[in-house]
Amino acid sequence: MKTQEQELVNEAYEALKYIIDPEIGINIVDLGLVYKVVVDEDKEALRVELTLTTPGCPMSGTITTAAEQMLHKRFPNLEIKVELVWLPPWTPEMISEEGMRLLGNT
Amino acid sequence: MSAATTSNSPSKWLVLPHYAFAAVTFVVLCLLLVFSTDSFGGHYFHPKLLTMTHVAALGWATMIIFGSVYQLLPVVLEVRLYSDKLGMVAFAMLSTGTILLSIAFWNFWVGTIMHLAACLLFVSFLLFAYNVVQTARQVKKWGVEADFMVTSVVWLVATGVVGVLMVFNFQYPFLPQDHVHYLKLHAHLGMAGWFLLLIVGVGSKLIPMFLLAHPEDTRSLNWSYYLINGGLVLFAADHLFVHKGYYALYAAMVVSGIGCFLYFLYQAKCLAKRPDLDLGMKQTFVALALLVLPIVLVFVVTLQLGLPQHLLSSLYLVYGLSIFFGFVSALILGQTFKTLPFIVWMHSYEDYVGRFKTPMPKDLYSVTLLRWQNIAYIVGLVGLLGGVLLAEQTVILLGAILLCIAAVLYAGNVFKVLLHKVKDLKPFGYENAGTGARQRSV
Repeated sequence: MKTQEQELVNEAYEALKYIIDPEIGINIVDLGLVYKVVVDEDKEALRVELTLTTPGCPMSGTITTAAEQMLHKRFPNLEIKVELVWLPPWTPEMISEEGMRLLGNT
Repeated sequence: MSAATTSNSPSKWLVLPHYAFAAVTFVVLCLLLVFSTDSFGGHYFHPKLLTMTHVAALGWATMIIFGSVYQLLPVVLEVRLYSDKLGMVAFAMLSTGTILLSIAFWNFWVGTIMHLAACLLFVSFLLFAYNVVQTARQVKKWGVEADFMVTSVVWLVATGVVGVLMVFNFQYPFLPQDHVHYLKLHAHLGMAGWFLLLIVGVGSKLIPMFLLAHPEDTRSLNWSYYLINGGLVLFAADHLFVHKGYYALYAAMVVSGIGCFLYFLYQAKCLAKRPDLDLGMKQTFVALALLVLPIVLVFVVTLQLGLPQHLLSSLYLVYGLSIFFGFVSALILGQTFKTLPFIVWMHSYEDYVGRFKTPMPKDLYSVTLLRWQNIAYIVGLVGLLGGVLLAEQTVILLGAILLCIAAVLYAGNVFKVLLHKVKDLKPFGYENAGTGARQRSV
């Protein structure tokens, strides 16, 4: 990946860290809910794939909208496409080290 | 990767009135307890005790379970609720039926009002059952949780059938045996068939979810399902037709089923990635610990063990109280603050996330009130059960007053959440978010 694209992706992950799962209380990136962030080849769109801790979670619309709003604010010149996906199913093993620390695991 | 669908949440106008009605009912129930301390000295077939049992079972526990199920069924089964309207009609009938039945039992009016109340309640059960079954029919991936939930509504309807028959039998006796005989059947179908199965079904999904654990081995839940239902079917068949009286065996089956459920939760607790439990989850584990009491007492009252009649009468009362005021109430007191703030938060802030700084669901209720509620509840429960066992009216009164305090604190906190208003939201900006934004929802 080119350096500029990688920087955009990193910035997108940082922006998504401002979205906190309201039940668990930690951000969706460290919770492992963000599966993929890619910049289109023409650099006009940012595509995000994210999931939820359980498929029946009533937060689906809320978290997707939050991700779109946050990324629009961060990248006003890019088209933002956020897609909710269920595969692979989320498991607690996807929580990052920082996420584990925030949850109180030493 | 497969794309997901949008939220399956029902209308808040379907779910939230159940919480409001249940909170008020819990206060009324505890007040009735304060003014009924004299009714604990004899047999459980007493107008005031029948009133309190039905206020607890219908207006408190069933009411909040109906509301929670409408919210949680789509989470557990991953489909939309079949009908919000049916749920609203069921709510109207359940609330009206509960009020009328309570008045009728308190005054022991066995005529028209009691008949009307029983019919309203039974129709509300049928509507609820139809809604659950029709919702479950849409399920693509059937799990053991769905088995528990659908079967529990079958037992709810069965409990209602026996209840309606008994109500009409008061005025027009037609049942072949006495009321106490059918009361035992009615009570156990309700407690183990309706409450227990539903709690196991929902709990087996929600508790691991709240603990951030994914136990994949559900064999213990399958065992739990067959043991509890097997015990109940045999109990009902024996009670109605065979009359062999192997009640300890049936109780052992149900208790083994509870043991399997607890083992499943133990596995989930071992896998949990969330070591810090909030007050709602701590209260949930208190409720599970309180299960020990009815588990022991069901064998004592079944085997009787040559105990004197007055002690046995007290033990029967403690057995019933340990289920309604113990396990079921403790669970509701804890789980309310895991579910209700989240529901209200979602409906209040879903249009603001990503654009404004918003509070978290836990900011919608008072943790201090919740802490004191839990303390008043557990001390009050010990007082109530101890007082009934020792036949000490003063101790019962003390316990009842403490439970009243717990109920008022609970209702205050519930209405604080229900009446929450969105105000003074600050627009979100990366420049003013700072590192603290990681601790807030936006």
